[in-house]
Amino acid sequence: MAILTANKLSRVYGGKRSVPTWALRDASLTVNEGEFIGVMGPSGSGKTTLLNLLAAIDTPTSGTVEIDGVDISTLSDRDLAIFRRRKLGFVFQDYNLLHTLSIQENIVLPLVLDRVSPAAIQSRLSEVAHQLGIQYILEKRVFQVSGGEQQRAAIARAIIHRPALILADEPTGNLDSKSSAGVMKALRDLSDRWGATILMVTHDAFAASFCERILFIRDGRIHSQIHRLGSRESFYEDILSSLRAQGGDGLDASQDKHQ
Amino acid sequence: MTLRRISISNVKGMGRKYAAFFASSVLAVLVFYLLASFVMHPDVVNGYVSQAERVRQGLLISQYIIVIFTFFFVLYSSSAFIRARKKEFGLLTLLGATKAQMSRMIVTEHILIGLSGVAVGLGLGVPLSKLMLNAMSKMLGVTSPIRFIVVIPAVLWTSGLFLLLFVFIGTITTLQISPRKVVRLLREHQRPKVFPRYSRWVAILSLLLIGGGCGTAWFVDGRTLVPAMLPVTAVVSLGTFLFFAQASVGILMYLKKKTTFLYRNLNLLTISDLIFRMKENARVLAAVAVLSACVITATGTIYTAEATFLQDVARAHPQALTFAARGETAPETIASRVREILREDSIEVTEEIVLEGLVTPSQAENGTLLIPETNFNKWAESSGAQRLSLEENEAAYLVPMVGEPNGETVPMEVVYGGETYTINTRTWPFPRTNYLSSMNRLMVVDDTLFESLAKGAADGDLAVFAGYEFDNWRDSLDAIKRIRSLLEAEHLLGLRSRVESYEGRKQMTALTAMIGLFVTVLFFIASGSMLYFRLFSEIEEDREKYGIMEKLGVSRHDIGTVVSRQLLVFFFAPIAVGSVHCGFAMKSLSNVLRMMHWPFLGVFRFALAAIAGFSVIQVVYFLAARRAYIREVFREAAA
Ligand SMILES: Nc1ncnc2c1ncn2[C@@H]1O[C@H](COP(=O)(O)OP(=O)(O)OP(=O)(O)O)[C@@H](O)[C@H]1O
Ligand SMILES: [Mg+2]
Repeated sequence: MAILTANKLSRVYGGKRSVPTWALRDASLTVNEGEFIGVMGPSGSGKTTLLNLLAAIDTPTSGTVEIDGVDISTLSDRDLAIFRRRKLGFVFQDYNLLHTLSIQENIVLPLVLDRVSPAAIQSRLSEVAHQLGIQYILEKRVFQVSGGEQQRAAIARAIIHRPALILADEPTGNLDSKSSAGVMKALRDLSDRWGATILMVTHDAFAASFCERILFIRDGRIHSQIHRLGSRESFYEDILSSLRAQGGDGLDASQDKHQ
Repeated sequence: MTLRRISISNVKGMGRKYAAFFASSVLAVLVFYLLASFVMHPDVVNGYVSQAERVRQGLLISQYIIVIFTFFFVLYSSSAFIRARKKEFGLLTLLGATKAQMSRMIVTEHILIGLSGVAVGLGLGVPLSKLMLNAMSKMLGVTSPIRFIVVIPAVLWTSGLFLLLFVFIGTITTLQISPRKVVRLLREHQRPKVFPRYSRWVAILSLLLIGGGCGTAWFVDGRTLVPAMLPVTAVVSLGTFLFFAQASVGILMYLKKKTTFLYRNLNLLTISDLIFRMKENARVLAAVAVLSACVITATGTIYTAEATFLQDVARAHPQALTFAARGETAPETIASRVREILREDSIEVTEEIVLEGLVTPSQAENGTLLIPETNFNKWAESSGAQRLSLEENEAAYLVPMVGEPNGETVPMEVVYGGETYTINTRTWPFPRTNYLSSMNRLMVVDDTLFESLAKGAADGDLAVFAGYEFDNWRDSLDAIKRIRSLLEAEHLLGLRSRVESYEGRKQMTALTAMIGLFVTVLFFIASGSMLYFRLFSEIEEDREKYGIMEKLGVSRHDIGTVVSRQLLVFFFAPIAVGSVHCGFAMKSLSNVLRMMHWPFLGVFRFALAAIAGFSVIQVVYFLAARRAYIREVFREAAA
């Protein structure tokens, strides 16, 4: 069943005084409940733009986004807030942690906003912290931890409330293969155990191999996709060969380290 | 964990940014309580302290000013904070915070700051109010000092008012965030900076406006001051804004073009950044410049007024004591009693004139005082004035003016003892009669006429009219009181003394000066804080920028130098411009006071004192801001 539908989404930046940039052109996609989807494409191809539109962070120049059959542009402020708080988890490419709060406070923010009881918050916190291997930095301030640790904290914040839909922008961009595997397993777990729907942007074929379907995006258009049929390892090979077929665009320099 | 806890963490995490805001709020609370503790003091309210009423009025007005001031100050600071935190609110929105939740968070933060500000302000204010009450008692000259107590109504008013203020402003501030514009909120900090547009014509216009306004101020005089004041202020304010928005950019762009200058030292880094900083902060800088010009001018004017006050008193009272009385006692006896009283208080009389005269009922309320010519000339001689020589059947009206007598005479009728005398009268300028003439008309008649009038006079119509001068007149208040009660038995016609009028006005000027000082200091501190906030509201971007510079090999020391230079311009350009404006305003003032012999420099020196005071505060702010800013910029770069 479709949880998310995008119809002919376009987003044009600039205009009037500067030359307009078509960051996204007529992108349409349907995401079924519980699907784990990867989005790949060269830098500047419009991946972040697509994610922003799906999360209602940004408004499309044209086209609509429907979640559970409801056009999100028609939601009231309150319903939009409730949707974001209960159903959505978003991981930014540049983390966006609040510097005034500790790592722990950053992570629990969605639960606090939803007035979850302190005991429940605590158990959820230790669970995700353990999954992502960041128990030892919880008390620290944002500027006291490394980029990879910040990234994992941002992921923890996006999944702590077990959202039904997770939109992640290069969640493993700054991680070594071990941490990266930890993150991917946590996402996989969310999808398998809780039926979460995940849409993840990545440049890393290894991370992408955890997905069930990969969308390839170029110049603002979704131009092809591949499905996972067999094992993760064979899917990894499929992804690499697709990328090669597209001329190596979007290939991560680190692709070979996982082989 | 609750939202409230998060709010508290947030305030703690932004400690440095909040520091100046907090300190200024504490100061406002403190000053407000000090004034309120006097205004609402039971002794004052119940009227146990004489003369406190007028003072109360003055203090009430300054309290209103403080509240209005604090309102705008807190409003401005809060919106500066919110702007700096757009990203945070964008993120919270994305995490599903409702507008109500964020509003509650902002209001909680304001309450936290308000509560602690009130607590600290009162904590300091209560002990300090003891000093304040002592000072007030001294200034008002009350015999027993006003009791030191914690004035409960003042505490309640202060805390109630300021908490309300913070909650109200917190609520207003929440209007700045909209849940629909997440992207804009998130990108606020990385919004591409457009290079400032600059128009040479607007820059020239700004200089013309300022020049025109100041030129007008230079030539204004007592007659044109009032109609010119508002338009000139408006024109100069507009000019100043355009100056900071355009001309400053123009100057910097010009400097940028001169490569010999640009590539020397660290000028490239300093100037290219400063262009943005000036343009973005033009409104604040112009506001500080214009307001500081106003405040410095007001301070200068108050102190000039205080300084001219002694002159005014001396002019209004050419003699330290003058009186007129009529009764049975002989003038010599009265004079010797007065001298005795003065001697008791060891007051050295340097000039004494005792004149006999005759009171005739006439148009003037207390009758006309007739003085024989010989008596008058004695007085005139002793005070170095021109002698009078009258023809027969001639008289002179003494008028309290400086000038040359003219020879014209007018026949006037004097009625006394049932008879009417027609006398040729002329006016005779004689400044020393200054005050008495307002209650008695003074007429000098020739000796023979006086004699014939006095012969048949009733005892009660004979009057004594005396003037004294003494050097230590400031100590004569007590003696004057005793003289007054002595003369009251003698049917006192009138008594005026320099010391009484001096004392009466001394309180008012001292008070005005004190209130002026309060408000001025408060303003300077507030404006310093505003600049400080502006600086810190951009620190996220600056941190990134300086981090990059450091990676490119610019040493921390050099970055420090660049920052210092920029801050120097930022903090001192407004005072410099404000001082120039003030100079012209002071010129206007000295034009108006010219008849009172106040040259430009004499007037300007008070403004200079205010400028010096402002500069000191600004230096403190500059140093504090630089230290905190550099530390904050490098804090993350180090991690
Ligand atoms: N705020 C903006 N204003 C103007 N153009 C923008 C803006 N944001 C993105 N663009 C442009 O839109 C295009 C798509 O950007 P987007 O951030 O979606 O790329 P991306 O696929 O996420 O790239 P990357 O892999 O590097 O993150 C780019 O050409 C970019 O330059
Ligand atoms: Mg991107």
